[in-house]
Amino acid sequence: MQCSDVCELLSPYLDGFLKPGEQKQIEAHLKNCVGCQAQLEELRGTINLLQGLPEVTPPAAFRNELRERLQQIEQERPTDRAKAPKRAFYKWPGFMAAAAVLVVALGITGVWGSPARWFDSGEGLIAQLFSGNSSSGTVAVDNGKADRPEKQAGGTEKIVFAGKGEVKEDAPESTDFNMLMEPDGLSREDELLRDAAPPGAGVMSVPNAAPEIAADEEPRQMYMENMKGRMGGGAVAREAHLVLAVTDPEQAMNSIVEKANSYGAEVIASHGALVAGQREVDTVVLELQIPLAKFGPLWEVLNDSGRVMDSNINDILHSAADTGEEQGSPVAMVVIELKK
Amino acid sequence: MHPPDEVLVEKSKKGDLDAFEELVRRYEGKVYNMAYRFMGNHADAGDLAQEGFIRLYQALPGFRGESSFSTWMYRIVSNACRDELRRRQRQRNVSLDELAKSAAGNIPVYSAEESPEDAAERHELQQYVQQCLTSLSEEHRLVLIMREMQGLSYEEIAAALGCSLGTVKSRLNRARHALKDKIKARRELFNGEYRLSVKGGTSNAV
Repeated sequence: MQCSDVCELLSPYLDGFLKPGEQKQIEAHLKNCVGCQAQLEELRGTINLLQGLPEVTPPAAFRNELRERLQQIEQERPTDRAKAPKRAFYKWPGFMAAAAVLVVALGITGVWGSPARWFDSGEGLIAQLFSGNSSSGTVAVDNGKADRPEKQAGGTEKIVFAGKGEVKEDAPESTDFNMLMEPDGLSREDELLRDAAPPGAGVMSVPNAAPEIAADEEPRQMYMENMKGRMGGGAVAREAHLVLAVTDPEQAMNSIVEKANSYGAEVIASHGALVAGQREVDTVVLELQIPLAKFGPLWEVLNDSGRVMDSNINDILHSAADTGEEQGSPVAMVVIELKK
Repeated sequence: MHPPDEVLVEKSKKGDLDAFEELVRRYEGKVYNMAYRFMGNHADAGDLAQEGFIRLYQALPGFRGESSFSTWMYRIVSNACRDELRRRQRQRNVSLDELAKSAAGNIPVYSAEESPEDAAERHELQQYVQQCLTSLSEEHRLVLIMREMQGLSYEEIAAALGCSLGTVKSRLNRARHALKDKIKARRELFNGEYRLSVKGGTSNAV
């Protein structure tokens, strides 16, 4: 066993989470390798430091504050829950006040080619999530109550796109989030847990909330997200982060998605942020999964797509255990922030 | 009078806030500590822990008892953590530096056999470890907090994060190495003041 292999197994070794054969191999190697012994001690020291952090106690008023907020929620809870999000959805004036959950379940074929579109010029949020989608896949849009996506006949190649509205009020001293969850929307977390997809076909982030907001509140910011899980591919071997200054974040996103697709990259998620009172999206965050082999050339293209404000790349070491679990060529996960 | 979680959950589902408050009493320590270690300061931890409990309360109707309440709780609180971090990253109104600076929430606790100097030094070390933790990615933070601080098993973490045991194993491995590297890298800035072994072990825990 090589030192690099041993190093990857030191963490489960410390937890006694290795097969007996592996355990013996590691022990035998450690006897004769000073370098790996030092690695083990450093890892152990790190764990000890973490475990040595003291427990903290919640503030004295924690439970009372929570109780008050819950009472408020109970009082505001509409008698007919099912109608609540709908009523709110139509009642809010115009675009800025709208928020909803969209869950779009569709066949795998038609997704890659086109960037998501989030915003409608009309009233409220749009159901049109993808432009130029040539897929014959089924699209189901559901506001608010969001049925759990069902498995398609034919297997696991099913993805979930979720749009998520989040409205935040500008109240610095307040601990209020003003982002109250629609109960039925949230309940799917549990269902998704139960349905945890097989590795590689999973739902990356649980679409979990449809905000319920009093009509008299003035939302100041709004975010929309479209997300889907990783779509197969091998282990994540690299993580990279890039912040670019661009003149038009939306346009830049479209252009990057197009280029990324031509390199075989896939869009995992995208989010847009805009400032109250403005139609313009002022920040876009894009998450891409890129075949590791294509990372180099595409990274250059990405860096040329705007003025680089920040970037970093981390390579991730994998243990032998990973390769059994995640099959396929290794991939890089890239998060790109496009800022105006 | 210690009704099991399941009974309290059923009552809470019907809007019994007293029952839910009992659940909060049982789990507030866990949730608050998780939020505190995730965010690195008390102000944010308080907000996040409240948010976590509100989500729990609102999600209760969907909880059908396929997992234990605590596993389900970890799942929802993890999601609250992720969402909070993403919200902040999009807003960019709190930089990592600020977060790290505001991490000074822990008041050193003196014990009988420890001098004030030792206590101060230990406190400084703990702040430093917290800063390193807060500088990791959200997934690395979550897995480390669940394993090292909340003491969850690999199986419990897998259930809470909705991933496989293999993923927990590899993610935990990466997270530990990442934290070790952060501590080492920063230690160099501190002229080797902090060592990775001996100090800060569980014997020093408060």
